[in-house]
Amino acid sequence: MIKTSSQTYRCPAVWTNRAKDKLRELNLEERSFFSLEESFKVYIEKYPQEEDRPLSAALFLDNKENSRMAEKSGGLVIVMHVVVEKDRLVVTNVTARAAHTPVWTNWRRPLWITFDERIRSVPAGLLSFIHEMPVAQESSAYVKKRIASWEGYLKIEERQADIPDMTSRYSGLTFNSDFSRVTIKGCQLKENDWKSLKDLSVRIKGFKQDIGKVLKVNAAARTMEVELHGHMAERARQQQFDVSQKEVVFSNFAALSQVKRLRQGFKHLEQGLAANRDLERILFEDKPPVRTLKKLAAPVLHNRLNEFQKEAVMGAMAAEDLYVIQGPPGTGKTTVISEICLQNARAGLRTLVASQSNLAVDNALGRLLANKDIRILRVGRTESIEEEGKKFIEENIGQYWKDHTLKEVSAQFEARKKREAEIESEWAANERKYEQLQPELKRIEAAVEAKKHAEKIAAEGQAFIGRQKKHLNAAKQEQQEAQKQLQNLEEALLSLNASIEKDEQFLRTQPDSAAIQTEWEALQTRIHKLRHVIACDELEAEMNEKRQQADQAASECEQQAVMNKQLDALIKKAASVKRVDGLKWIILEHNLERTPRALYLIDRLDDIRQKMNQLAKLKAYNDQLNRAISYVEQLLGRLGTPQGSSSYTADEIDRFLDALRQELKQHPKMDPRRLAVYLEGLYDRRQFIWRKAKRLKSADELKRTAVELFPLFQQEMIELIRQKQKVIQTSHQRLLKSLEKQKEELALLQNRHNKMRESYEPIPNAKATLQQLEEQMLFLQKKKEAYEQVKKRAAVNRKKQAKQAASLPEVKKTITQIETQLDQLRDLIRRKEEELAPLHDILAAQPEQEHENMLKQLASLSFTRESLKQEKQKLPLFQSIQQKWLTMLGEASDHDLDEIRKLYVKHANVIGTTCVASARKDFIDSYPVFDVVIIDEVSKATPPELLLPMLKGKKIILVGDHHQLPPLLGNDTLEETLQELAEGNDEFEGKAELKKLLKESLFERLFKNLPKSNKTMLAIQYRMHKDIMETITPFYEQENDRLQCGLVDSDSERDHMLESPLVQRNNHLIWLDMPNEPAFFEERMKGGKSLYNSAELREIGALLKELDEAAAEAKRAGRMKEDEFKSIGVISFYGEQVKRLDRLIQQELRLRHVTIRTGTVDRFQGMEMDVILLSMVRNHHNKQDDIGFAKDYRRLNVALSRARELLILVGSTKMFTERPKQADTKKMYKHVLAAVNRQNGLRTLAEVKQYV
Amino acid sequence: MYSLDKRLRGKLLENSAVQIKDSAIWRLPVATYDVAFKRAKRAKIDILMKMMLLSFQETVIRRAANLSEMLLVEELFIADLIEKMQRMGLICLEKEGFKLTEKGHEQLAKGFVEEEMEEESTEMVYSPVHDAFWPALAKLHEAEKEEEEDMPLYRYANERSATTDHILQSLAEWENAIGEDGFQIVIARITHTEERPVEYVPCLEFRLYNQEQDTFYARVWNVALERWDEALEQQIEEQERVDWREKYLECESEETSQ
Repeated sequence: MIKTSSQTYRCPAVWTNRAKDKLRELNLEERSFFSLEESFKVYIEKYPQEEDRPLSAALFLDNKENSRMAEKSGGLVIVMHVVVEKDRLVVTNVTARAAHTPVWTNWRRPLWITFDERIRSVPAGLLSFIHEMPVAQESSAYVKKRIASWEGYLKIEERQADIPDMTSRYSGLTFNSDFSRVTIKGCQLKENDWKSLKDLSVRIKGFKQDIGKVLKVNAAARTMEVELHGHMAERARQQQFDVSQKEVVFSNFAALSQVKRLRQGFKHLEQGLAANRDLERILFEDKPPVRTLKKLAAPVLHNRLNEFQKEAVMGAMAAEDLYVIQGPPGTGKTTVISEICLQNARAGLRTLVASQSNLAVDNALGRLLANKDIRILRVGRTESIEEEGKKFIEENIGQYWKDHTLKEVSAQFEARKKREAEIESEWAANERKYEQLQPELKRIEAAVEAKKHAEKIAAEGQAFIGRQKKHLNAAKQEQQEAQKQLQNLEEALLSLNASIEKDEQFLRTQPDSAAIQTEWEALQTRIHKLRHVIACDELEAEMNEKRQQADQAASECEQQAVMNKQLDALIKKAASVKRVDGLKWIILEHNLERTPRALYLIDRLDDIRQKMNQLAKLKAYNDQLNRAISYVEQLLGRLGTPQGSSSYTADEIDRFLDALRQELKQHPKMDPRRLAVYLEGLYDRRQFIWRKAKRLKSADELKRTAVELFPLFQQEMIELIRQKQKVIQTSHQRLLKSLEKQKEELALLQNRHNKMRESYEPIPNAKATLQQLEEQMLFLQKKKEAYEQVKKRAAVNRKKQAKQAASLPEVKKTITQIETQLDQLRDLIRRKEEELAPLHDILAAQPEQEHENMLKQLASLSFTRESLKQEKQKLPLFQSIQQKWLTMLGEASDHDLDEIRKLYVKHANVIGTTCVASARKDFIDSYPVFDVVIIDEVSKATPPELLLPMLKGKKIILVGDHHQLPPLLGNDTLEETLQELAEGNDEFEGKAELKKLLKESLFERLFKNLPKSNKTMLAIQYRMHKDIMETITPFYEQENDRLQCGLVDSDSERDHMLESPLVQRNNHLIWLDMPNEPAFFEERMKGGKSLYNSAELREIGALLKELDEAAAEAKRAGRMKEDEFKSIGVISFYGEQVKRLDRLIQQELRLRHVTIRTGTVDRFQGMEMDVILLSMVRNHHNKQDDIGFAKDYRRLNVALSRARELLILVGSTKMFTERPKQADTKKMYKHVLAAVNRQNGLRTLAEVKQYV
Repeated sequence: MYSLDKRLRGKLLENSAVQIKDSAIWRLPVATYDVAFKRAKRAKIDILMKMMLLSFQETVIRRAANLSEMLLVEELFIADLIEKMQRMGLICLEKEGFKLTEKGHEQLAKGFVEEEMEEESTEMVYSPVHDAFWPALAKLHEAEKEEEEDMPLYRYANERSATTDHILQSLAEWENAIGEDGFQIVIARITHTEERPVEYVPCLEFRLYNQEQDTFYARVWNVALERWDEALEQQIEEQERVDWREKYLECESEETSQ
């Protein structure tokens, strides 16, 4: 709202003459005006800008901040109308407004201006500041346009409101039985005036106050029924209405002032006076431009809330401008409101709790916590405030505060009185305990000390044992080693002994070395002899061999001499051979080697021979062919022409000739042509032979060559033989020489042999014997060596044995020593351990923990003692002061509480009032703005009504349920009013708009269009038994969350305890079905609109009796307490029926165990009862007609959701489930009936009669 | 009594729909107490301020919260009053806490001055049926008294008697007053009460039937209070109304059938 701007602009300004005049009219001096304040707090309102004209604006000078100016101007608000030029502000006019005119609006912006002539230009900052501002008129125009849609509501109220006062004489007054109504008789009014009397307030001359308002008019009887205000009943009983001047005044002042206030609300919104500067946009735009929620830490909640309630409280706390809570019946709206108020109070915020009706406001306040953080103040006309709200009105809050404080102080005082003794006993107990603990402490301390000591000893002992054990281990190791050594020694000795024993045995059994030597030498001699014999024999064999060789060589020599002679003969033979073949034969005969030259010559000779043969052959063919040719030529008689160059083989020529011969033989007279062919062939072939012969050398030439070659070949042959002969001769020479040599060697050998022969003694088998002897020799040798070895070894061993045997006692002695040492050590350790053993228990104990616990205990004791001490010290003071305080409070008179009352009002942080009352002038003056405005039962208020408290809230929280009933206009529902309007043929602009609003209320639209963060539906109800709740769940099916039952166990928590013929304990929903027959039909009041149903009245009467009896029975059975009453609400859709129900209950029934409240469904919204009887009234056969008000699902929802334990519908099921014209209507009643059937709750009239 | 009865009947029958089915006159027992009491004249000083002055005198208070804890009063109130008292120069904040100034001491002393006034006495009438006190009854005429003796006793009378507390409370409501120059006069104590023998108040009872509305109701004129007495009406209606319907309407139907 008020944006505090710290910015101060220095700016020059001048007055126009007109402005100066105006200023003077206001008794102000233009010269000194600007110097009245150093700087002026100014609210700027921007004027609409015109083309080519400089900016213009109004400067509203704050009459509170600018105190010196205010003093001069007599507190008025001075407005300077200025044209903003570049170099200065030109003040064109000055006006003044009343002191209470608000200087701030949402269309104006505050700033500080110092008017200074010396400055040469208007600061750029100020210029842009004004440029950027919205134009006030435009903002207003926007609001005006949008709010026009709400005009309809005002029109309706104004229709009835715009009535001048009427005065009339009357003849008499009669009061009803309880003085709540008076009938004025014999009024004298104009015909038209009678029509507008309804709802007007009534005053009787001589009375200062209105007595009430007109309820019903009977123009024909010239009477009217007036509903009296509560306090008027008293005066009526005292017969104060008996005044001499019987004159009555009807006035519409109250209604008129209400409409005025609503209009003023519109105006304030237009003027930008809403505490929330976005209010108009939030209300009218399709997507309300709400700000994002603050982030808040989770508050410490006072009430136990369910998840939805928590969400609602947190959301409402975190929202910046608007939060909407939809609260279906029994979902704990008031708890949520109470919690929000408490949280606000703790946050230092002031909250307005507003609602359409006084009842709802008082209900909400009555259920707020009695918590000293919340200071509740109920504002409104005392006489219209209900009992629950009365304690919070200004004149009673002193008392309320006193009662509350007295209660708290005395509770504390009494508690502390007891506390005094308690402190003493606690102190004593504390001391006792302390004393008791002292020896214990000492004991524990000693134990701790002992443990410490023991630990020290134990540590030392352990160290000692450790050292000894180390020694022990070392000694043990030594012992082990010594034993091992001993063992080794003994083992070695044993094996030595064995070895010696064995050796000695050996030495004893074996011959000694001398014997062996003798044997050995004998053997040696024998061997020598043997070897000599063998050598001799070998020499002899050698000589024999040599002799043989020499013989052989001699025979060979002779052979060679023979061969040489043979060869000589051969040479002679070869030289004499004349033919080649003879030579060849010699070669073959004597196997002569053919030299290459010899081979060459042979080849040439063979070739010549071959060619000679070929020539001979060709010659033969030529002869043959010539013969044949001559024969054929003869036959043919002519010669052919030899020609051709073909070649032929010998065979072919033979075959040709044969063929010719054959043919000639078979066909002696052969065709000459054929013969010619043969001749040709013959010529051909002869030609071929010729050609061939030509190619060969002639035969003579060949003979000559052969003659030349033959001697060469012969020569070669002889040469060959000679060479062979030469070889044989050479070999012969050599052989002779070696023969010579062999003879010499033989002679040498013979010589030696002869010598050996001298000492020769033949020994048979010398060689084999020698081998045996040599083996024997070797064995002896080995034996001898072994003997020597054993002997030597035995000597060594003996020496060794002697030495080891000597060291044995030494080792044994060492071992004994070590054992002694070990025993000593073990003993030492055992003794030490024995010594330490008693310490074990001491060490195992945990005196430290105990000690610590003890210290803690002592510390806590002394802490307690300290606080007790303080408490004890403070106690007498507190007691004495509170004692005095209690006395003072107890004696306090109203006057004594004046100051408290003022303080309370000053610090009140939860203010409750009705929507319309929140626009009263005195209220606006006391509370211009609230941090938070909570509006309860929003759906029951019209938008213009809601606007009034909304204007005052920086933050607005709306609580309601659009599935319950919409606003009432006066005593009628909107439908009734609309019906009336339609009948009245009254056309006005808002009618269409109103119809639209009837379909979707402001609350519903906001709830639907707001982002999820700014709304919650409380979806858990705690009022109804779940069986009853079942009937209304379809109404909430469109919402995000299904309606749930929060009762843990409906059956036990909502047990009605009643048992009667019609109602069983487990019945919570019953429909008593009235037949859809004329005897049970609805009836209409004579001359009235409202309907009633006598049959239902009858049944309800019976039902109430039955329930009363059932309650009595429940008391007898101990199910209900003796002084308990069942609360029963008897409700109906129709006012006339309610009136008749009232009469019935009052006049004809004596009910002792129940309390009854009656009312229309509409009036019952917000209330709850244990048991609800709903009289449905409508029942007819008229095809054109419907079920009237019962059609509206919201009304049905309210009707069904009032009962906690038992709901009984009384009406025709056929009428409501089959007769309605609209399918939706049928469906909703069918759903109810289905639920009733499921729960075995349908009762027919026949059943009822049966029990009667 | 006769004229009264006649006047009342006329008044009731102004409504043409109403029939008087029955009527009765009986007497309602009331107790009269002679009460001696003393009033006191006291300075009008605000209770919380007085208590705070007293506390500052008795103990050391440094912060509003300390006192708030002791008196169980909103800290805001205490803080406000501390400021006001400082402004008025009744207290000042010293090193160890708030101290009363001389003016403060004076003011406190004045707050405790109670000037007890002379003993006064009055007469209080108590109706056990109503459980309420009425101002003294006008003396009934002797003739009426005689008449009264013949009247039956109210059939739902009870034997309740008044407590001293109740007497004091009622007396205070009537007699406390605000005096001039900031003094108030309050009932300090009751010094003596004495119950006189029971007296009786005559009442006229009418049983009415509104034919138009088919309703029965009772009207009882209380002579002492000079008004229609709703407490008595209610008591009677509650007990008898349903029976009346049977009694008067059935009688009627019997009559008509005969």
